[in-house]
Amino acid sequence: MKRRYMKQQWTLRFKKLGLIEEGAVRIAPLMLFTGDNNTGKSYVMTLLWGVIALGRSLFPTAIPESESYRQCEKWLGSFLQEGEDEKTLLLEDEEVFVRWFGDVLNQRRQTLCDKLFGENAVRLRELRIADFVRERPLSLRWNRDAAEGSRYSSGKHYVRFPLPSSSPPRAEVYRMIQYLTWKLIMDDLSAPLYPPRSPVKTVPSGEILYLPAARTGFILLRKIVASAALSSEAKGVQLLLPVRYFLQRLLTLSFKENNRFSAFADILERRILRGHIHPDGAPLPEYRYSPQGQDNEALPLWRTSSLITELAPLLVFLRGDDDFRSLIIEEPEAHLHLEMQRELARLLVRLVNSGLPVWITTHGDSFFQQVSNLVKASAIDDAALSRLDLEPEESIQPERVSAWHFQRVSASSGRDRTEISPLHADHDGIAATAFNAAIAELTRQTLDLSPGDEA
Amino acid sequence: MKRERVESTAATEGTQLVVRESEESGEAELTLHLARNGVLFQYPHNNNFIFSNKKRADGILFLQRENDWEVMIVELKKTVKLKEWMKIKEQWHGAWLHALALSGVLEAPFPQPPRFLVAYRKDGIDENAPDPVLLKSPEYTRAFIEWREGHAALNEIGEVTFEKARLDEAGRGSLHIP
Repeated sequence: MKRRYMKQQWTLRFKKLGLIEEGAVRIAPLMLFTGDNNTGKSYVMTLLWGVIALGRSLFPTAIPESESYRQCEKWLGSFLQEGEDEKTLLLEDEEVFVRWFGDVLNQRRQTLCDKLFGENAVRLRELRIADFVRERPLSLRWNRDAAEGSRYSSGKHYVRFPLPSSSPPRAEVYRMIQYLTWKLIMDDLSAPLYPPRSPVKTVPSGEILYLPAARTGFILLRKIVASAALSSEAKGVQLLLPVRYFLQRLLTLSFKENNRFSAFADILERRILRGHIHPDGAPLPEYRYSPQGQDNEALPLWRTSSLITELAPLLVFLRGDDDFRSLIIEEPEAHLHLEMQRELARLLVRLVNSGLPVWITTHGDSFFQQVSNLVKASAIDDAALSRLDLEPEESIQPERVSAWHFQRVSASSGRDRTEISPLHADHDGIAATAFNAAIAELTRQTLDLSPGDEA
Repeated sequence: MKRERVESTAATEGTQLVVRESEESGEAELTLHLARNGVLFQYPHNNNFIFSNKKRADGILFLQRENDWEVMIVELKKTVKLKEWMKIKEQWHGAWLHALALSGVLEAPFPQPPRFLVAYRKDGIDENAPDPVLLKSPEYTRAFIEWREGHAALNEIGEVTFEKARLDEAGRGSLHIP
């Protein structure tokens, strides 16, 4: 299997998000948030989701007059004047557009936070994207043969605009700059800037998918929650925006034969669920579970184990017609036996290696250890992998991993705050700072309570 | 100290002494800046006297005091993980036996226990270690706690405290000893 990964990396920087006075996380194909409870891991994931899912709606309606935007105009204007058909963006060129997008985010941060967390619930002091790199530069091409009013297009490493016959109006230049900026920063993570809309889908194709914690509750009660949300008492259903989107997407999902993730859904069913999940024929379907080898038996999900209900959302999205280019999963290890946690870690790494960025919050030390082992496994050859019962697509290079530790610390003011630190990853694995001390203390206590054992 | 009894290749004397590890896989060098005169014993590892413990730390430093000597036993490591930590403790113990022998032969008494030092490039046993599952084994947990709390249970000597020093990526470091 050829490995594919997102082409860009950047750091999201923010100030004053819940208990986090100042924080930064750098995205990578596989990202892990670990650490204490109630430190803001889900808040940061929500913010990341918001930047990616809602970022396109933050571009100002009117043509910006900021200095960073003028630099973008100047850059595009120079290229137009050069008369070349194609130009490759150097790092400093990319930086012009990233800086402007950072300014847009920062200016519109309150709008974004109000949508994500509720009005005035979170008041960020700063929000920016920084330290942008792209594994291969993006090119900008003019299409000389395009008819007037032709659409913009893009490929893996280029964007193409119809060549204007004369100096384009500023509004047109603004549209091009937005398109180019979005492609540069959000390509492989999100829907395009101008996504095709479906009359039945509330979320554009390709949009980042957020699978929240407590998935059992959502999958079992989704119709009740949806009904309550649509009633005149809708204000009574208060959920973070990514969770609302998750529910909306779940409700409009249909199974699709042989989609991009079918092979992964097969693995999930065969190795972890040990059975099939399938919808009944209703327009708003109920999902049923048939244990392996018992296809005649179709249990409603409410009669299945928490392993099934907790992973059913992942399975139905892998089988579904709802395209997503990146995936956030909160606590994937929840309700899973250790063996299944290990299997799930392997499956998620397979997904990452297939080109789907997967970002995870976790409290599972065994789940984490398995991921760490898969990082170590990237240093050994296929024969050695086979002896460990691993397949090459289940290993991942450390440079494809970004891991973070969220730690609650007491400030001198008496007010707790969260510090976010990067966790080192190399061929020895990923630093397990969030788990080591607690496990060591537990083992020590166990030894102390075991008379007869050598102290 | 009757140093004439020691081959010139086995010891160096002064206030700036260098402990060396010449193994290809873990070449390292720690420069010790001493406030007092010191004698550093380093000799080939195959010279293991008659002790049952054949392992030995890289350097045995005798630091001059008014009426006797203070001894510091120094081990250099590229990475410290569980396996290395267990070995370091054996090497410290082995070097302590050598220090006792040297002390007797050279008439250079030192109080017990001596000081123990490990200098290393990479810490693979601290709270940032990558393998939480290992901490479910008693052996590893004891090592983790010893390393974190700065004490070690050594054969014959008992519970001792120890000091840590960091080496750079090239395996070099320096330390001031008052």
